[in-house]
Formats: sequence, structure tokens, C-alpha cells
Amino acid sequence: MLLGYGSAMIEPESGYLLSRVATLRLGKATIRLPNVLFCETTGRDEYGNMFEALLTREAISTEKTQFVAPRNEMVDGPRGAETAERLVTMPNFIPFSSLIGGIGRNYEREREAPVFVAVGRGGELSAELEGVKAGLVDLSNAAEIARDPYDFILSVSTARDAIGGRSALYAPGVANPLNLALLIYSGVDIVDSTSSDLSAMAGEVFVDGSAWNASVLGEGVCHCPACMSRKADRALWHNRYQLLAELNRCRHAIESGGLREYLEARATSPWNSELLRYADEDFHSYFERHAASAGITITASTEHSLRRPEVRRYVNRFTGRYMPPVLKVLLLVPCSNRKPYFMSKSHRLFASAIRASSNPSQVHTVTVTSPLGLVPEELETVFPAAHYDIPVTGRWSMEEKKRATDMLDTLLARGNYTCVVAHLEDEREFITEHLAHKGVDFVDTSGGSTRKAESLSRLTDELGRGSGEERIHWEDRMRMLLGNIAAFQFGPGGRKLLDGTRLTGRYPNLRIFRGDRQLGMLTGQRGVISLTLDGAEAICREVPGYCVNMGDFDLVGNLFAPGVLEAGKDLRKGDEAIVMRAGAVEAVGVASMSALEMLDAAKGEAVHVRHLTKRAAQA
Amino acid sequence: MAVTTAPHLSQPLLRSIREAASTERARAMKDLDPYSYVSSWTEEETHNGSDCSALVMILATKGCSWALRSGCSMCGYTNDSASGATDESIWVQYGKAVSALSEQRIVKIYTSGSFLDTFEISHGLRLRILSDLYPRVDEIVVETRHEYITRQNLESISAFRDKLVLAVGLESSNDAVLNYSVNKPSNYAHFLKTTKLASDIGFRIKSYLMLKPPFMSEGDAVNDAVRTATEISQHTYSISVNPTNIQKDTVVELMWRKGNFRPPWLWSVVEVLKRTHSLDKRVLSKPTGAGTVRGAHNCGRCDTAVMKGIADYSRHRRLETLESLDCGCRRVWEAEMRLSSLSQPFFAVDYRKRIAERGVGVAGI
Repeated sequence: MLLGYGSAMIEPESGYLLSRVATLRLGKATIRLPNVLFCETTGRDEYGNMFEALLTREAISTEKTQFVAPRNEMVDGPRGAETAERLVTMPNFIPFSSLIGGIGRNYEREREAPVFVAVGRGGELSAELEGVKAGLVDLSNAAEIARDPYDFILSVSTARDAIGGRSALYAPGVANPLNLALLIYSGVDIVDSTSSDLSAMAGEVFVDGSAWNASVLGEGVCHCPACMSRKADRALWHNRYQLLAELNRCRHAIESGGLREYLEARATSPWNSELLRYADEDFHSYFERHAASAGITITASTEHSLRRPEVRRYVNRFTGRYMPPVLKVLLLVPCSNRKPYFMSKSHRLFASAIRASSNPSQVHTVTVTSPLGLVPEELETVFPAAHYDIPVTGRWSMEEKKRATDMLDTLLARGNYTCVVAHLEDEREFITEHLAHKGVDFVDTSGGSTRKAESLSRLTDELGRGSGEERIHWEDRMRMLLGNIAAFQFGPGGRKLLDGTRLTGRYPNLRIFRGDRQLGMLTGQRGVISLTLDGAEAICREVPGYCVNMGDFDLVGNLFAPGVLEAGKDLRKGDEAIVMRAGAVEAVGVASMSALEMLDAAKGEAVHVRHLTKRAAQA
Repeated sequence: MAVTTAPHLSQPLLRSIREAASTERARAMKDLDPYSYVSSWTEEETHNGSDCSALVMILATKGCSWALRSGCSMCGYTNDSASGATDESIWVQYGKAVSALSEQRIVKIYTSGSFLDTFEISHGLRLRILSDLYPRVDEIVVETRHEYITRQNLESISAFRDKLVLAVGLESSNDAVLNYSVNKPSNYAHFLKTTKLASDIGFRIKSYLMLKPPFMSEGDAVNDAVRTATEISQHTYSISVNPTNIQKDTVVELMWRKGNFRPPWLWSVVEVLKRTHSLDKRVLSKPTGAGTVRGAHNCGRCDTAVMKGIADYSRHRRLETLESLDCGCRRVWEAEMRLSSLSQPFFAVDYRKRIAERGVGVAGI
């Protein structure tokens, strides 16, 4: 992928949501993202080779990439942005000049220079950054904005929304080794060491996840080069090495797909914790728009995991898109360590107990779990239901319980179950209490241990009692369940895919046919339905959020970003995407980028095509 | 009067600060009793090198003409005016205040605007007050914007010139700072012209300069003050460094509330005094509200000592007084001075409070 404006380009290598490991080219200067600009006020380069970039007041002699800080235009007069090899000179500006009641609202600056210095905050930034085509946007007031984590995430997200992924975002004066991961996660590409340096001067040092009094460095808590050898300015250099180490750790976390888990572990200081809470709760869609629908494993081991974008999206889709199948018995079971659940030993035991009952076709198995709440059997293979890990203590927090019971209420309100069977273990107590409290008739079959032979035979008996005589043909039953997968994948319009179809194969590998034409296939490997061209034709008008409108040219392979005219707003990396050309299906495949990236990118694969319309010309 | 502009600042940008200032000022609705002076006190001073005391009186006039149109970004003295003030009522105020005059050798008469602006003080009243005071004291200090220092005005009071000091708020010799940051419609060239005129006629000019107007980092603010002092030292009798304090209903207060302004460190005042010590003019500072969150302040532990050092230096000009001052927070100030040249922001606004409370800096951020 390649993003940018010609003279300023960003080439991402890997990314997670808004964070990215990338190369930024600003004219002749090149810098890796994310990065920290280390302050150099002595006039010479004091830093070792492991440091990559410096922030200077005037250009100094160095082999590193240096950014010359913007100056106050009132004091030093105007100066435009300039770039040279390993040198970026940021433009002068008037600090704080648009902050209040419109002061300086008419402050005009060059909008297409390599670097643009923004002075506003919060919502003001969307107007200030409108039409800005700069490779780097400096959020000059970031340090003041960051006094309130909510203001900070509001400002960063507003700026990011305005500039898209095509510009790098620089937030001066805010970073320290403790909050760096959060800053990067929020969408900041470049920070500097000013705040961390200043902390050191005030006697505060950062040691991994903690901020401590500098005297702690005498106690053998750190073995960085500064702590091992330096006598003068030890705290200052210690903080700098910490910041550098944290930067490298964040890059690794992005590359290995574990940034979210890494920053959850960092969300221990009040500021970090508040920022993450606001980010997850109030800025969910800002992050979710960039969250892939496949390809990562989620480790949900902190309280914050419950609110991470992928998990919340699952819960929102359950609430917004899911309709329970018309079956008589709702069977609630505990989750398993192995995913998808039906592969696990415990769930195979449950499955044999169900098969042994008199009418298994009427049983709908739903797993009670955290952080996803409830996972109906048909969604077991769908991301992230088959792609998460949790610490198994059997202890449920209030928030976890509430999520599961809220979803259970939704399920019961929408479903037509005539019988509820709870075959549960650690979650037995709060689920049965909740059912009783709601006045729902239920049978408790586990006695607290779900795998004992007597529990399982009790389960078989009770399922038989509740499921009645009316048998549902497996194909009709499976069609309902596949309809749910399609709805989960594409929204309610996706259900149309199953209208008048017949199915072949064995779960989780099922082919969908209408007449003799195959519309699609569920595969255990992907966990969702892959469409054929006929399948795409059948639903393309129902699911505009998953269609990509391409330009009027003959597609010969994969669709690349420059060929995209419009991208359905619901598309995320990993989603099934229908490629449309002038209103007709041209191809179908898997989105390689989110909708926003397809529009931002100048290069790169947008849709990995599986099926392409055959043309007479090609034949 | 003509509104002058710094060359590289656009008119719309300036218009927006003018409007912001007048919006804030509109809140300053306090209207005082036209027959009572605002306040009066006696303070320590020096006259011709020897210690003495000075009577200060602040009279309520109709207010500064500029403040009534827009107003300087830091000035909240509009709250100290009386729309009903007349020559007669101001004379009554003066009479009440001057009754405290006994052994003081200096009298300072301040209004919330300009003594030489006839909108506030008429020709007649001006002469009446000066004639009354002239035989009773050694020195009379009045404040005025330099726009009112005209040949005509000076000649009308030239009889008092040997005892009269005209105190002028220049604030900065940088027109961009003056016009945008201070929001004062003056320019440095005019100041130079009037000081020449005044000294030709035989008046003494005392100049005020502002340390850290809004939209500036600590480092830039110190540099601007030092540069201003250096540039005007040949054209003025003495220089007073006024660190910005937060006054009610001002642009500065609005910015301060939003976390976008912090008064300067007392260390910055010390720095300006040190760096201007070699000038052959007296440079002094009497910071208003120093040591409080609304005035120039340090960490809270050293404020009293540093304020005393500044006061001693202002009277006796002994450099050792300043050089002997120190505190742990000076290291933080030094770091901010260096780092604020790289990254314009003020860092965390309650930074010093945190140092005082916890002995460390910005933990959360």
C-alpha cells in the first residue's frame, strides 16, 4: 500500500487499526513510523546510533534524520516548511492562535507544504485541516490538549478523520515511555521526547510500566546504558533509553498483531486508563472502521478487553443483525478453551448428548462466554468467536455478567423458544439467577458439572422432553443457520442469499445452490460464507455496504486502490467484497483494506479477487 | 487614532483578536463610585539612589479609551473605572487620596488608562493636580500611552518637567507581539519618536515592558523582554519588567482558564533582570500578584525568597542578590526554557503545583 500526495508518501508495512509501521517520505527526507524525535538542545548530536531522529532548534551536523522545530512567527518572523536529505524544517506559526472564541480563526497558512502546523483543538481541527495536503501534520497544541485525555482523543481523531491515512500525525510535548503505546494506538505517528525529558528534570523517571522518583535508579531497577555508566544527567538519559525501548516494543507489537494486548497492559496509569476507556466507549467507530474482520487472535485478559473494537463490534452485530432460528429448545452451554467450540472435547460430549435425545433438530446450542457474551452455534466459526483466548478462572466480573445476560434477554425476546435448558458450570449461578429473576422457565441439567455422565444423560432426557415431536429437516435447519451467518456478515439483506436454496456438504463445509448454480460456500477454514459471482448477483443490491464500485475498465486480476471509485462503508479488511462496475457485478473477493483505506491509498491491493466475470473478449 | 499593523500579520487575524478582547471586556461591567478612588498605598522606593517611600493612588476615571474599544489582552483595569467620573469627582478622589501624603517623597498617580488622555483627565484637572503636588514632593509619576505624548500635551505641563516622570507601557519592541499578542494598537517607531520628543523637551520616560504576553513560550517570552529592554535602553530613563498576571475579564484570563496560558516563572523575571544588568539604565520589576497562581510564580517553596530578591535588586541593583537565589525547581525552569524552544507548548499547566505536591513532574502525561 502507498498513501500520500506525490512529494510526501507513506508506505505501510504493517498496521493495527490506526497505528502503522511505515516509511514516511517527505521530499528527500525519510523517516520510519512510528517514531520519536529526540530533543537536542546542545547544538551537537549527543545520541548513539540506535536513535533514529532528532528534534533540533537549528540544523546541526548529524547522520540522523532531524526535524527543525517550528518557531514562533511573532518572534522570529515567517518561515515556510522545507525538506532536504535527512532534514525537515517545520514552518513557523503563531502558537495557540485559534484556540478560543475564534481568536486567530482567520490565521491562514500554506496548505500544501510538506508540513502543516495546526493550532486548534477538538472539533476546530476539522475546519482547520480541511483541504490540507501535507505529508506531516503537527498538532502543535497537543501538550495542552493532553491535559484531558478525552480532549486528546477527540482532537487526534478529528485530525485523523480530516487528513485520513495520507498524512503522518505529529503530537509534540506529550509522549513518555508510559503512554507511548496509547498515543500510537490513538493514531499518532510521531512524538518527541520533550515531556519525558522535562519529567526527568523534575525528578520523575519511567521504569517499564511505572513512573517513579528518580532516586529509584540507584536501586538496581534498570540496566539501560545510562543506568550502567552515566553519572551526569542519568535520569534524563534513562528516560530517553526507556522511550526508545518503548518505541521499538510498540513497533514489534504492531508487526506481531499484539499492540492492543500490549497497550492494555500499559493502561495502568490514570491517564492511560482514562484515554483507553474514552477511546473504547466514545470513539468506538473511529477505531472499529479500521479493525479487520479476520487474521488476528484476541487475548482478552484485562477489563479493557471487554471493550476492544473487535469485541464490541461482535456484540453490536449480535444486537443489530442477529435473529435466532425458529427452534423450540434453547440450550446454554459453557465455552471451551479450544475454538471453534464444536471441536472441543466438552462440546463434543454435549453434541453426543444432543444427538442421543429424541429430537435433536429442535435444539439450538448457545455458548455463554466472555468477553463475547453469547455465541450461538452458527456463529462459532465467525471472527472473533473462533479467535480469542481468555484466562480461565471461572470468575465473572459484573460487566461480563451484564453483557451475557443482556444478550440473553435479546435472544429470548427475539426467539420463539418454548424450552430453556441451562447446562452450565461456573456461569450457572448468575445465568440461572437471571432466568429466574426474569420469570423464564428453565431446566438446570448440569448440577454444576457439565461433563459427568449423569449430567449428560439428564441433559439428553430434558432435551427430549422439551423438543416435542415436530422434526426439522437438517437442510431447513442449516439454511436458517446459514442465513444468520450471512446476516452477520452482510447485514439483514444478506439473508436473501439463502432464499430458495439447497445445501450440500457437511458442517462446517457447506455449498449453497439455487437450481444448479452455486451461490456460495461456508468453509470451516474461513468461518464465513464465500460468494460466487451468482451469489454476489443475488445479494449485491441488498448489501451496498459491502460493494466496491470500480472505474469503467476491464478487471484482469485483483482490484487495486486507484481503481476504486466508491467503497461500501461497512467494508473491513477480511470481509467478503462485491466488486461492481457501472451497476453490474464484475468480481467477488476478499477486501484487503478497509473502506477508508481504499479511498486513501494511491497504490495497493484493495480487493483480492476470487471470481471474475468472464467476457467474450477474453474467451 | 490609527491602528498600526505588524508587517507579516494579516488584518483578519488581528481583527479576530480585537473582537475576542472586546467580547471578554464586555463582561467587565463593574462601575465604580465616581467620588471614591480605587485604592491607595505607600510603598518603598528609591529616589536619586537613596531609599524613600512613595504614595501610590489609583483614580477612577471614565476608563482607558482603547479598553473601551477592544483592550489589551492582559489588562483588566477596566473594572477600575467609573462611567460617571467628572473633573469635579476625580478632584474629590484625589483630595481623599492625597490626604495620606506625609513624609513620602514620591507620588504615583495611576488611572486605569492614560493621565494625558483628555477623555479621562481634562487639561484643567491635569494642571490642577500637578500644581497641587509639585511643591509638596520630589517626584511625580503618571502613566500614559505614548499616543498621548504630543508636543502640545508636553508643553502644557512643561513647567513640572523636572519632577515629572511619564510612565509608558511599551510592552514590546516587536510590533507583531505588540499588535497580536498584547493587542495594543501601537508601534515601536512611534514610541521612539515620542521618547525623543519628550527628552528633547526635558521629560523623563519610564518604560514598562511585558514579560510573557499570550501565544508565547517561556523561552520566547524571556528573549522578547531582554531584546526590548536592550533596544529601548538608550531612549528611556528606567525600565520596569511586568510579568503578565491573570486579571479578570481578559483574553489572558480566558486562555488561562482553558489551560493555554500560564504566568511566567519568577525565574524568568530573575533571568531578564540578570541579562539586562549590564545596560546603563535602571531595570526593575515589581511583579503584580507574584507568588500566586494568577501571578508570576515558582514552585511555591521558593517564591517568597525569590520575590524578595527581585525587590532588593530593583532597589539596589546588586547582581549578587539575584545570583544567590536557587531552588530545586530552577532545574525544571531551565529545562523548560531549553525545551520550549523545540516544542512551543507550555507543557502541563499545573506543572509547578505538581512539583510542589509530589516532588515530581507530569506523571500522567
